[in-house]
This record gives sequence, C-alpha cells and structure tokens, in this order.
Amino acid sequence: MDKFVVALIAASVVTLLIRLIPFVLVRFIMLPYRLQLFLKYVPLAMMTALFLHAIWSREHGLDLMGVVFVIPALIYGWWRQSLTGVVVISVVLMALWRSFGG
Amino acid sequence: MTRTFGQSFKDALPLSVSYMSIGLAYGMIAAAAGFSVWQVAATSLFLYAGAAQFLLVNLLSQQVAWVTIALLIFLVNFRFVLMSLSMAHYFQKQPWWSALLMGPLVTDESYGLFTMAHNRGEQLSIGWMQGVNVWSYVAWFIASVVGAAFGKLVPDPQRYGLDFALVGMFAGLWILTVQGFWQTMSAKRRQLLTLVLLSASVYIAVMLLWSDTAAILCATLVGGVYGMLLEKEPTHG
Repeated sequence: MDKFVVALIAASVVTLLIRLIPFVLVRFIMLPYRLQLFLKYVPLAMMTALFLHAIWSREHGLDLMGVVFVIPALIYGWWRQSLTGVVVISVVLMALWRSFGG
Repeated sequence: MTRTFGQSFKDALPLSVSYMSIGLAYGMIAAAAGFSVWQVAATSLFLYAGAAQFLLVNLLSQQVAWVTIALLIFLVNFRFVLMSLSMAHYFQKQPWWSALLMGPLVTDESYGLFTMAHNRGEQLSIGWMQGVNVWSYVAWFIASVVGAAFGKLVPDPQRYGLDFALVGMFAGLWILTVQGFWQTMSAKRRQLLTLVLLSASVYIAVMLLWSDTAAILCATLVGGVYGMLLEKEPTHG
C-alpha cells in the first residue's frame, strides 16, 4: 500500500479513537464529581489556549498585526455578542492592511 | 431556550465561513506539495482535523515514517479527548448510534461553538450539535477539494485576509465564552479573570520552552484544575 494511504489510515484511526472513546466511556462510567467540576472550567481554559495559539505559536511565530486587528474585533464581539461580526471585522481589517499597508 | 437542528445551519455559518477559508488554504497547499485532489479529499473525509491535516501533508512530503506521523498526530489531536469528554457528558442521554456520529466530528471550532452557546445558558439539542457538526464537515470538505482543484487560479490569496478568519474565529469564540462565564458566574468574576491569566501564562511559558501542543494541553489542564479547586467544598479538611 502506498505511503500516503498507510499514513492516512494510521492518523485517522488514532484521531477517531481520541474523539470517540470519551463518548463510549461516558455511557459506562459515572464521571467523578471532581472531574465534572474540572470539565466545567475546561472550556474557558481551552479556548484561552486555542485563541492564544492562533496568534502566537512556535509554528507561526507572533502575529503582531494580528494582535492589533483582533482587539477591535474582540470589543465588537463583547458588545454585540456576534461571532460572525468578530470574524468579518478581523478579515476585513487584515485584508485592508495587506492591500494598502503591509 | 433550546437550540434545535433547525437553527444549526445558521448557527454554524461563522464556523463554515472560517472553515471554508482555511479549507481552501489547506487544499491549495496540499496541491502545491504534490497531492492529488483525491488525496486531499481523502484526508478531509477521514482525518477531518485542520492542524493534523497540515501536519500530515508536511510530514509526508518530508518522507517521514508512518509510525512517527501517527504518533505526532496523536499528540497534536490529544486535546480532543477533553473536548469529547465535555460534549459526551453534556449529551450523555443520546442513543449509541447518535454518539457514533457525534464523536468523530468533534473539532476545535465546533467545540468552541458548543461551549459558547452552552455557557450563555442555552439548552442544546442533540440535533443541534449533529447539525453544526455536519454542516461544518461538509463546508470543510468542499473547501479543501475546491482549493486543491482550483487553487492555482487565485494569484494572491493572502490579500483577502481570509487565512485570518481562523484567528478571528478563535478570538470570537474565546470572547463569547468568557462573556458566558462572566454573566453566569458573576460572584466569581475575579477568579475567572485569574483563570484566564493563568491559562494564558502557562500557554506562553510552555509554548516558548517546549511545544505548541504541550502548551495547549498544559494551559487547559492548569486552568481546569484551578477552576475545580475553586469549587472545593469548604468543609473539606
């Protein structure tokens, strides 16, 4: 089998297991109370990490202009509670910058 | 208020838009690296994980062994365990076949949308989550295939700032998640801020010293544990 197929199968199986096992687990095990508390706060911690990772990572470095443009988008997001708004404002600011500034 | 399947398409639109732009980029990059449209389609269909797909394409073009690739992708995608655990717990009453459909489609963004809506106090139906997952999956698949097939036609994709849509997406998901916690836990606002700063600091430190993947996991674990400890019963010794 060619290398691509083998690698893809391996990667997909591994990822599938990661995603599915918790769903299987939850049917048979009652999650301990402490774990439920932990899970309650995981979203806040995880989203903080994922957001930061989008702006600053080893892989892509620090996106300074990104930080600058994301701030007005965040303010709009808090004010209007609109996810689409944040995305659109970010993209438009970056597009303007790249076309006329950067 | 309960969000239902009927609302899932519209709710998933910001996700779909961001997926489309990153999916296009992925397709273009994979094609430029020599992968065929069929191969790109296969990766989006079976792996369906942006970061992992970019990594896969990258590693394969460097002739890395499949075992190493599988291990690296395991590490990169490990964060899904926590996301799945969260979602599985919330939707624990669903039938086994429903869980079988929901599990494999867990992604950063759909998880973000789930937590954002949940933390605002919305009740989320199983159908809503399935809908969000499926629309996103379709958007990603189409975008990556189109990117692979027609990417060469677009001269300067960077100009449109579309790749920045992913950053915008995570920024939006984060601020709205924070807002949800802020509004529903008004007594604990100072601790919430501390949690965010703590996770942020851990992320930055671990990222600079070790790796991106470790940084995301550590920041999540530390933040989650901090939150858990906050709620320890006062009678505990």
